Amino acid sequence: MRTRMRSLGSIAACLALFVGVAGMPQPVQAAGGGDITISGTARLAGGFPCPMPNPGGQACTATLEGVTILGSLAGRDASGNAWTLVLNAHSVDSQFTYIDDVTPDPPCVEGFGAGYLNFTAVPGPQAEAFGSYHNGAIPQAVVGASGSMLFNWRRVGPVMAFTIRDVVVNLDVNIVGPVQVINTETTSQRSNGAGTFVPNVAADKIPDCVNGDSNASANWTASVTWDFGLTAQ
Amino acid sequence: MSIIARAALAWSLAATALVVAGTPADAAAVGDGSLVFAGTVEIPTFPCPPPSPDTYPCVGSFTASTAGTMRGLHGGSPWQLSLNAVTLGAFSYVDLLEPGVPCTEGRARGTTTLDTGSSGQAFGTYTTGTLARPIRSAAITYSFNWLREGVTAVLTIFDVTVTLQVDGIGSVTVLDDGTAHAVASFVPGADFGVPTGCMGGEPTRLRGSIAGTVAGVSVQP
Repeated sequence: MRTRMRSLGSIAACLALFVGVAGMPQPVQAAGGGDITISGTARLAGGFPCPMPNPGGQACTATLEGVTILGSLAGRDASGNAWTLVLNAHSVDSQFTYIDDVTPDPPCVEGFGAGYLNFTAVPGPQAEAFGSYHNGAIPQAVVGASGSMLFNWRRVGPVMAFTIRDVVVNLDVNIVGPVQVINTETTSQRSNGAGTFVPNVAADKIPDCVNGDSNASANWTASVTWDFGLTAQ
Repeated sequence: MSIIARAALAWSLAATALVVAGTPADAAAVGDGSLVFAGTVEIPTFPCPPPSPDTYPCVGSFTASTAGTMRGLHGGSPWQLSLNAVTLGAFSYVDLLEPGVPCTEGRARGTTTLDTGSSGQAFGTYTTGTLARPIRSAAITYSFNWLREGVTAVLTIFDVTVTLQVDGIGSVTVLDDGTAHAVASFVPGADFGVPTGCMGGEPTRLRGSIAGTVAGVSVQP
C-alpha cells in the first residue's frame, strides 16, 4: 500500500511538472519595424568631393547636425508584449565616411560610405517619444526611447540608397523601465533605406567637379533626408 | 604628325605662351609614351567594405614586369627612352558590398615606382645641341585611381614623373605632373578559393595575376 502510494505520488508529481511546463509561456521571437525619417545637415569635414585616400590614409568623415528624427514603429518584444512608438526627436549622433568617385568616372556623380546613427528621445514636456507597452491588462506609456544602427550607403547624383543593420531600439516605459524591443545585431537582418544628399553650394563655394579637388577648407555641408524602413523578425 | 613633331609643336606653342606669361623656360615639358605591365597582385582581405568612421581602407600591393617606350622634349632637349623594369605599387581599395550586388564593383587609389637603376634596363638618348647623350637609367613614378567592374579595372593615372640619369649631365626630370590612362585585368590565382565574403561569410586573402597597358602618358605645358 505504501509502495502504491509512492507510485501515485510520483505520477502526480510528474503530471504536475508536465502541466507546469506546458503552461509556461514559450519564448517569442521579437518582431517589429516601421519607418523613420532623418533630416538635417551633414558637415563634410573632408571637403567635397572627397576622393579615395592614398594607402595608409583615412576616408573623409561627415557628421550630422541640426537633425530631426520622425518615426512610427511597432511590434512585439521577445516576451510577446506589443508596443508602439512615435518619435519626434532631435538628439542624434551620427557619423559616416564618404568617398566620392573622381576619376575615371566624372567627379562628384557617385559616392559611397558607411556609418552609424544613434538617437535618443528623452522624457519630458517635448514629448519626443510616446506610445504604449502592453505587458498586462493596463498598457503602460512609453515616455522615452533610444536606438542605434549601422548603415552602408551609395549615392548616384543626389539620390542615396542604404542598407541598414545591427538595429537596436529601446523603450523607456512608465513603471516598467527600460525595455529592448528590437535587436538585429545577432540576426544579421538587413533593412533598406533611401534618401537625398544635396551639397550646399554658394556663389563663392562651388564644388570642383572637373578636377575632383576636395577643397576641404571650404567648410562644406550638405542637406540630407533619409528614410529608413526598419524591419526586425 | 609624328610624336616628336607633335611634341615640338606643343613646345613651340608653350614657348609662345611663355613669352606672354613670362614663366621660367624650364617649367614646360612635353612627352608621351606607353608601358605594358604584367605581374601579381596581393589583396589581403577580399572583399574589403567601405571603411567606417575611424577605420582605414584596406591596402594591397602589386609587382609587375614593365616594358615600354617614352619620348618627349625637355627644355629644348629631345629625349627618347626604352625600358624594362619591375614596377612596385601599393594601393588602398574598397569593394562595394551593399546596397547592390556584393563584390562586383571596387575602387582603389595608389602609387607606383619603377627604377631601372634597381631592376631592369634603360636605353635611349637625351640630346643637348647636337650631342646625343646616353641614358643610363630611368625612374618613373605615378599615382592612379581605378574603378573595377568585375575583373576589369579602368585606371586614371596622374602625377607621372620621369627622371633620367643622363651620361655627362646626371639626374634630369623630363616629365612632371603628367597624366595617362590604363586598363588592367585581374585574374584570381589558384589559392583564391571561394570568395565567401561575397556571400555574407568571412573575407579571404586574394592573390592573382594582373596585366594591362598604360597608354597616352603625356604632359602638356
